[in-house]
Amino acid sequence: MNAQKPSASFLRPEQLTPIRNLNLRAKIIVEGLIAGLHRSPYHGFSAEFLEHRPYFQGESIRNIDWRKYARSDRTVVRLFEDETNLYARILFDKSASMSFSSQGAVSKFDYARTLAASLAWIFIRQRDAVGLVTFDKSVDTSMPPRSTNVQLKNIISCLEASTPSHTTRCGAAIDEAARSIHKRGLCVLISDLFDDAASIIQGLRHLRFKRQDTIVIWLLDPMEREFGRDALLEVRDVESGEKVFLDGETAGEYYRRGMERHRAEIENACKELTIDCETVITDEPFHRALLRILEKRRRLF
Amino acid sequence: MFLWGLLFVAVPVIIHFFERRRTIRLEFSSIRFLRDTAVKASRRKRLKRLLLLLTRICTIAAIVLLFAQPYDRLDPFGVLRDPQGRTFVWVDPTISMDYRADGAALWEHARRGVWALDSILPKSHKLYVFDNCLGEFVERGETGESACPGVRHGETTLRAALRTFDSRRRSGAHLPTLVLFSDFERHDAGIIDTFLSVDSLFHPVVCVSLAPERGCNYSLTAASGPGAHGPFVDCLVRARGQKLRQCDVSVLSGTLRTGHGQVECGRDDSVEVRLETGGPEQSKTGAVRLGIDDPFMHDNTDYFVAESRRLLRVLIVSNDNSAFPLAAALASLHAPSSYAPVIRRPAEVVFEDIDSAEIIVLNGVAQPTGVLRALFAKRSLEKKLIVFSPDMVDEQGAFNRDVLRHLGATAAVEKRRAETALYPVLPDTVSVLWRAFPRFEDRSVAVYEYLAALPGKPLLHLSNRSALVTQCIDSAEHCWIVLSTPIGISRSNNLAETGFYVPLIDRMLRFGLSLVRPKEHVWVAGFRERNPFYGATMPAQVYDAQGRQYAQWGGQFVVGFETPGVYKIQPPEDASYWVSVHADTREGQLAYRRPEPRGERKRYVKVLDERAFDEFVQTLGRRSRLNILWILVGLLLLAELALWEWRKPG
Repeated sequence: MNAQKPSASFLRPEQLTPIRNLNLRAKIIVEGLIAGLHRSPYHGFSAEFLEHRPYFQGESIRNIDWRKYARSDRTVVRLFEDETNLYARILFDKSASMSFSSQGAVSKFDYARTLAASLAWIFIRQRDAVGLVTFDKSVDTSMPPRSTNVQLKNIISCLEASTPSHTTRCGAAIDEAARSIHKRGLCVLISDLFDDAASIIQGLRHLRFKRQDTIVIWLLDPMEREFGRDALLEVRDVESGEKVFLDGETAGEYYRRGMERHRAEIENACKELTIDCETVITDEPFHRALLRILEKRRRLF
Repeated sequence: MFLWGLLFVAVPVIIHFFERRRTIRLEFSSIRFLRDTAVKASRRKRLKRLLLLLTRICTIAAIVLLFAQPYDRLDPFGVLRDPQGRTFVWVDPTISMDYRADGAALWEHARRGVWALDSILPKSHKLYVFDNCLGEFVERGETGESACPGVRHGETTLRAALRTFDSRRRSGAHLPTLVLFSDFERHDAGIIDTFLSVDSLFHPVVCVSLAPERGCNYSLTAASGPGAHGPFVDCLVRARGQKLRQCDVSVLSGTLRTGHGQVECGRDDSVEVRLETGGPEQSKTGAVRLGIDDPFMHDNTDYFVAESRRLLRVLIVSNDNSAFPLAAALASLHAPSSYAPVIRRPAEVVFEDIDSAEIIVLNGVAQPTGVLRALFAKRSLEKKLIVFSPDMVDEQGAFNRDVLRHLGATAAVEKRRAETALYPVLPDTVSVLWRAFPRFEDRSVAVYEYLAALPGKPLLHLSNRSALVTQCIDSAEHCWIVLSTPIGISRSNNLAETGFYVPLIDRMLRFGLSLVRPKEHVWVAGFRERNPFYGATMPAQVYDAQGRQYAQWGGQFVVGFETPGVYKIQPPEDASYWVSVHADTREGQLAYRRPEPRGERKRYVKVLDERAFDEFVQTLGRRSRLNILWILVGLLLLAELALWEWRKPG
């Protein structure tokens, strides 16, 4: 699947956010996305065929490959990679820092919510089980993966009900979430990753240890990418409420350097752990962001 | 005017405020990457900007100060650096400045000081030096070096210099500086202290004291020449600051040494020396010389004359020519004093006539003039001997009445006519006045008219026991000798025709002078005295020791001699006589005192010795403050460069 050029019909986040119904928003995004693809993601997602094996007496006849029997007159059974659907978990960061939005942009929290809902929609439509873990300084809500439509409703309701609060302890929260995972599956982490890099990496490591194929969606506001102005700044941390007085230019310089270092540390760790790390800026259309993610995860979808 | 440039300081301030970025308050997701280093860096940057502003302000201020030099205004003596300033210099011209120290006279030291000062003053700064001959400040460099000698005998010109300075200092925009070079003898210091205490304008004054630190001087004063007491010259030798070891004292008559002796004197002590020499015939005039070199030579030689003559000026005020016999009688008297009579009519008398005369004879003055009334005023004149001879034509005249009332007469003036001629009778022959008088009574004298009831103590009687001559002292301490009958040619008596006349006048004047004691006439070089021949019909001729004419003394009110020595005076129609002119003995006393400014004035007055003045001049020359400012400007520019931030384009 080739990456598609952004369609003119792609809706920008600021056009979608007025739609209060997250379910509807996700539906618009996902169906718009599907309409733009050449191949349907419905094929192959649930049929994870592995191999054939001989049928043993007493087994359920449900899995006998009758076509094979008709062609070769042998009773063989179809084996799938998993007996069930894909177990996907969306780790959703709802810390206070996610509420930040620069002037005219969608807040990271809203963007993340929409993105999470869209992903959940896609998973459910593919008959995969999807769960939701929301966290800030620790895990707040944990919904085990299910593949029912009710689950989708529940996830969307949970996302709608959640509000950004508390400080980020992203690493510890991932670690805590990883502890409750027992089956292999897929984890999609949606966060701004404003935490200690070492702690985050430790959490990711734990996820990988739990055999979780992990996708990190690193959400950033446009201002977080290019911080700094030619002015004196009185900056208030939305998480801690701490205030600092800064020279805009100097602060921008230091912020860029710090951010680069942080990014490099996390991206290197992701590379090492074979984790896909996608940076998404909140002024990017949802479709394009999702396409980029799907492009990387072609194997899954 | 340059100080207006300080307004430019506002430029960087305004720019700073225009460039000052507004403070934006914003909320941010995390200050994780901004905490610590960014905050510190921001603080550093803000501090740097403030420093840059401060540096710019200081740079502009320093550049403005460099041109305006306001520190010169704060420092009273900074006006010496002012290109528009004026400096007035007075160099003490008294002979005490001829004291030699460090191989040069003090006045030469002073002149060097003036040169040094001149060399460091800005070119357009005007330097005026007091010309002691012209009596005014002359701009240096305009007329070249003054031809006036460095020192001269006589009074200090300090008062005149201060007076001239006072009149000229108010004309300029800035207060001028006064620089005084002197050894500051006591009286000079007193004049300066008085000037500073009464002066309301606080202009800078620099007093450069050139007084030697441990001065020494030997002086000689001739007390008397050979005369009646024998062929001796008496003199007084004084040693100041150092002992005088044995040295020669010589008596010189012209170029001939007519006597000599040895003298030795302890430190700060004096010794009287008597030197035998030729008699008055051989040594009529001469000099006594101390045979030693000392730093101050002017008082090592003194002059004497064998027979000194005391010339007293007599003013005869008379309405008519009746006083001629009196003038003739006075001119004939020589010992112990000579009289220089001058006859004036009352209307012709001027104040200088009265002031310059030691003796005043009022002969038959009917109506008093305003000037003559000065005789009744207290303390307007020195003590005088006044001989009053009444006007018998109008015995009730105003002047008779005024004089007698002034002298305390209570009764009205009464003229009496004697039926038989009266003659004078001495009251005694033992009193100082009448001792050894030729006659006890003189019947050749005939007095026909006289005034009765004269005030005062009778000195001479008439044969009817009424007073002919009385004496009294008035409130102004003038000695009055009052005659009851006229002393000139008169119908009231025949005194002027008798042999009693001249001895009577002689005794009266001698007696009166013994009471008044007019000052001894001592001629000191450079000092002016009253002209003894003032108002005479013919001027007296004055010759120096070599016989060259030195001066003519006629209409001048005061006269004097410029240098010490002996001079011959030839009065009109009289015998010549010699006078000795001495150097001012005060000049060699080494009595110095520096001026002592008081109170607020202290800040504006510098009293320096020569070395300190040199340092002061060097400091002015170095313009150290200017250098410091240049260095400051340089440092500030470097700081500006160091703090400069090159902004990236865009």
